[in-house]
Amino acid sequence: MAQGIRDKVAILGMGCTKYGERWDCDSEDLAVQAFVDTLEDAGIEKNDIQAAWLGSHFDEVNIGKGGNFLGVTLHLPYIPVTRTENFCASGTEAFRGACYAVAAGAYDIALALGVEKLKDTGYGGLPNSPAFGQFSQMIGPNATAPGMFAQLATAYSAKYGVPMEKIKEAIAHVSWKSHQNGAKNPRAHLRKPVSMEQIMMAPIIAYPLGLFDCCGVSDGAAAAIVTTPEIAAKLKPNQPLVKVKALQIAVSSGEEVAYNNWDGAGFATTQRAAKRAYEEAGITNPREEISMMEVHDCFSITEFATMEDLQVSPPGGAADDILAGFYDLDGQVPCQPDGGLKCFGHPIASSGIRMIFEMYNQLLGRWPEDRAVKNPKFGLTHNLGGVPTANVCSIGIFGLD
Amino acid sequence: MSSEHVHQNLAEEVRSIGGYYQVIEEAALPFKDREVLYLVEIGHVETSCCGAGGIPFIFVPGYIVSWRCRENDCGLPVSEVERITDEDERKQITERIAETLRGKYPHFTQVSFA
Amino acid sequence: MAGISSYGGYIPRYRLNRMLIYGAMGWINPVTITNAQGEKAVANFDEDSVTLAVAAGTDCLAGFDRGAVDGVYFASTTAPYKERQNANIVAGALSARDDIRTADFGGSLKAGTTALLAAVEAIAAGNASSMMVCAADCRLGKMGTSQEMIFGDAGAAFLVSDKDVIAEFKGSYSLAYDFVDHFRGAFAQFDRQWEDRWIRDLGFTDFIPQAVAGLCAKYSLQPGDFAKVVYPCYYSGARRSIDNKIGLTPEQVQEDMLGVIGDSGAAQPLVMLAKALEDARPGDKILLVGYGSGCDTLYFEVTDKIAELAPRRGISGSLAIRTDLDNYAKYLVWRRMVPADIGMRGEEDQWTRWSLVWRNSRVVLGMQGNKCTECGTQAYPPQKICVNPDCNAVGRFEPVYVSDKGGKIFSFTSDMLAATPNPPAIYGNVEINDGGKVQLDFTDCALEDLAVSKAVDFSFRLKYYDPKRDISFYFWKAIPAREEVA
Repeated sequence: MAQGIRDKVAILGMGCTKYGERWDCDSEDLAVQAFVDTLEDAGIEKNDIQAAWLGSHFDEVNIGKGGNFLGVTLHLPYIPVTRTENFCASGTEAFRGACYAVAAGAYDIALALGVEKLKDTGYGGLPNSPAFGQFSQMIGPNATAPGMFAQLATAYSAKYGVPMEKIKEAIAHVSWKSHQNGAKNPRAHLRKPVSMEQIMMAPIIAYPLGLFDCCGVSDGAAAAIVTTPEIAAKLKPNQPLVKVKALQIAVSSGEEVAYNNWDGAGFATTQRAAKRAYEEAGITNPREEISMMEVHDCFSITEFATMEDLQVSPPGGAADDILAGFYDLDGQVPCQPDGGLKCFGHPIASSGIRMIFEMYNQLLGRWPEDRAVKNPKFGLTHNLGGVPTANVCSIGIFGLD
Repeated sequence: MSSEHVHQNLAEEVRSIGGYYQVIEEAALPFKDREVLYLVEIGHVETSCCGAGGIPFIFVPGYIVSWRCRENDCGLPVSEVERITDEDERKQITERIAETLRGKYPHFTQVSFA
Repeated sequence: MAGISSYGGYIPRYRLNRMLIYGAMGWINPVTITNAQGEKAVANFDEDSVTLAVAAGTDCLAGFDRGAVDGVYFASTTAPYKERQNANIVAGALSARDDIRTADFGGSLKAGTTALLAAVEAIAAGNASSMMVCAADCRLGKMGTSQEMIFGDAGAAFLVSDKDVIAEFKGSYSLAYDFVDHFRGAFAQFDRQWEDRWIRDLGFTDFIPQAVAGLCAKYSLQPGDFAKVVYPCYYSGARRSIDNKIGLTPEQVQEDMLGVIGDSGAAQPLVMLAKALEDARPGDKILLVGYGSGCDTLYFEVTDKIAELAPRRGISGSLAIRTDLDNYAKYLVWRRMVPADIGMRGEEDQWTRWSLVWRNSRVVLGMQGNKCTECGTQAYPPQKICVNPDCNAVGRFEPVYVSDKGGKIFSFTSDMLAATPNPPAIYGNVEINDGGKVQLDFTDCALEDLAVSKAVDFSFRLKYYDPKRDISFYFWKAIPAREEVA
């Protein structure tokens, strides 16, 4: 009987570069910065690392395929390096690879690093590589991500009878809250609070998503070194251990896109991954037990729907919770305390590890008072890659011993 | 029911992580003995993960109830407006604005109401 | 008995007021004001002669068994491919069988009538019992020319067969002249013509009466025997001379719709014939004339069966579905007459992988999905394993064409960022009638036309054009289902 990952792996050290338009950096510079910080935090030597996982998605255009980039750039000592690519979950996948290796007893200490240098891929964003293959390129609509995700809003409104005006206001609050949080974070890409008015009157990109409902393009890297709780306790006797409580991935079954059984108002993947993650972590009442979250707010409507898919807000209740400040930094379950994708930034394969970085530091109480979550117990991270009809969802739950 | 409208500085870039927008012009449209406040905006998505493009946009806060009656904490003027919720009125106003702007701001046809 | 069993028509939804052209280009050639009356039909940016022909063919085949079609002829002078049979694209989109005869007719504006003649003769010869003839043209005149004013985009289609014939084929007479009034070399984008008076007086006004006289002599008929005479001629002054020369009364002459469609090239006589059949009565003799490098004349007699043909959209219905193209520059960009920037993403190199296209030929061209023989679940695109989670049967499917099934809107959006020559891009998820869901581009609509659950039809369109390799690639889009205009 499978046991899951709960309490089998501890995070020894983490690092994360400043996200942003890093015109000054190559992917190599970003990877080295994240790695050096992580190594320092872990308090070990490079040669202690026995295996590594590299997450990269579009950065393939810069760093190529395979794991060579990491071995060569960091001059790792001929250890295994595996490249993971799974859309926006690529970073979490790298982390998962490292954790499973340690949990399996195959290695004592493993590295996960996600890097993405999107600003070299061209003006206006990510290269239009056929994310779903050549056949889908032939017949699929001439679509962009905002348009695909925007469709959640109309479907949600139809399902729950929540007026579009209320959804619009709630997703504006989602952005407003993230900008408030991001403004306080020195590593964040965009450090500027905006007013609700400025958000509400912004031009519409894909109805009902406006300019502030969509994330941008950032460069950055983040890394983690993981080990067993026993080794971590030995290496860091004076520090509480941040343990991995759950790691779950769910990938679309094709029913969302081709079968008529999906309501389009949420993510079938997130719903499944959340259920499994809570079981793995031993959480029975997420609304009460989760202390904080970093979720994939590629679009405000994604965060909105995810609140229900994660069972934190009741079905049909996301707007009420959001507007009541439930997810604000001083609310019951702060969401995006670091600013989220929309302010911290979204270098794709780095984002999953960046979210873990935030949970890790919050759990260790390392952040200044003005952006600290009070007495966190469980922190949850969530990535969603792809489009609502075909995607991958990753969920991680982390907690102190 | 009236609500507040905070006037943004004209031509100032209001920046998000994926782009920015500017309010180019504020204007009032006479409509059925009242005045409708509308803003001519241009959005520019130039660093989004999703593509690039400009967005000509009209935003309608509502009927003017009280014009620039006070300042907010940031020193920006605030007007009192009444939101326009009636679908018929929205449709008529949308057409009237597009008509009014055709010469000066062609292609500004996307109208959104507060 | 060989003849026409059904007809269909298609006029693109966009209409360009000719004064808009004049306003933009009259400065360089002020005399085009004499052609600046009315409007012309303009293909959408995702339409071309092939898609127009398919749309007309779809209208024509409504209520008929597509599996019974033994051949598809495509006529156009603006076919997208010189090599690659354009008719096969049309046949694929019409979900015709593989064991059929296909051919492209071009090279002359009488290609439409020649294709129709070839089809009826194949039926008459007993070599086939049902043939489709689809004609369409999207000719371009250079900016500021009278051709630009006159040419319009349209398509017409006929099902020619040996049963349930509504207009019996009675005979034909043709003329071939190397009379170069208009021409395009192999690489030319725009039409070139010689002097108007020469074309008008020696071309139309001479050849058409000659051809009619030839047919009448051959079959011992008088011009007065015909209820309708259908002939193309975009010189409205010359039409009167031609009528006089042949000896036709105004009631006998089929209207050319120049003021609402324009001259649709190789399709023009067939578009006019489709319109004539809308109003035809049993016993009517109809004379069809094609003009260009000579003439074809075909003579039909309407039968009692015409009353039994279910009403179709036809030219009239299609004409009624219209919207203004209120921007001359947009017309230029859509027709690829001038380059326009659609952003870096628009420059992405789009490879067409022909081996992949071939394997999925029916899926892409004919919108062929599949249906699980175990649980009956229909899906498009076709599945390898049944998508019904309670079934999941492997490889137990029968093919099913969904292109004519339509569906309803599941979700939709409009997108200002997608690279398109007609922003915003509108697309969404469509639930196909009888099952399955597919993400499609929407076309020929505005955001206001859409709502969740609203009915849509599928329309065969240009999916992309690869300018680097001159590839036109086609697929289906969703369009709001239209209330039929009675």
